[in-house]
Amino acid sequence: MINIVFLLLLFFMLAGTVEAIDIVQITPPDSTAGEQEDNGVANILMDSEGKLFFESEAVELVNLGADIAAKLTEDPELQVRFKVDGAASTIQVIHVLDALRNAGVPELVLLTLEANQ
Amino acid sequence: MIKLATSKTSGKVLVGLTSLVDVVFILLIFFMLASSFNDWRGIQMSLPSTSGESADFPNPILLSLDADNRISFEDQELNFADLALRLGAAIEADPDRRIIIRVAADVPLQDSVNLLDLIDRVGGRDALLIENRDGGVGN
Repeated sequence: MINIVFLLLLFFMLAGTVEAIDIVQITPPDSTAGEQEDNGVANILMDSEGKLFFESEAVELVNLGADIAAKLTEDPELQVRFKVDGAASTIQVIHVLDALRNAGVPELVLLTLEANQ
Repeated sequence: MIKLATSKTSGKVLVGLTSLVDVVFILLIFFMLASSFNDWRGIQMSLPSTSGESADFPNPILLSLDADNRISFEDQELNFADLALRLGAAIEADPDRRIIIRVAADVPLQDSVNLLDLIDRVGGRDALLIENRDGGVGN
């Protein structure tokens, strides 16, 4: 019994990754394309209704560009990751990307989950 | 010779396992709840500044995607399988043609990503996502 519990403990410790829980529940789109990514640093979240969150706080679209630009001046190598709910509107995503482009973000990564083929 | 009263004749000391098992159980529950097995992928998007090169692509492949997940390829409505064939042929004929996807209002991101996946599968290198009126974002 205790042997099995130990095995389970080892499995979960080694196979899983402990990560911070997002402020909102987001189901990203499935995708077969793209490269493997860690769920890392400057994460922008957008829920299915288009509400934006940055650094675990709700932000407005007009302020997001300035916030990201401030982060980018601190660390120009910063990788910006955009985690969007699969049900969110593509047009809203494009609007956010336009705002980021105007703020001087050269590129970002749209996070998706690996699709089951 | 003095014999200590506390020393046992046998050298074996029994350690209670119960407390150890309790701790292991708590650790197990923590890792079960906190672990995530999500396999994250990233679609690289470049955001070229509008002031630089002009957004003028010779002879682009035009796709439009509407809110009911209908895709048209050069003003002809196609299903996913036909689109893959036509797009594959077009890309093979001229790999340098840019693919421009015009997205209507209220298209869920999942539909757009499905279309980007299809372009990726048939060998398209990059595509441009645009709103029907203005703004463009590369993939």
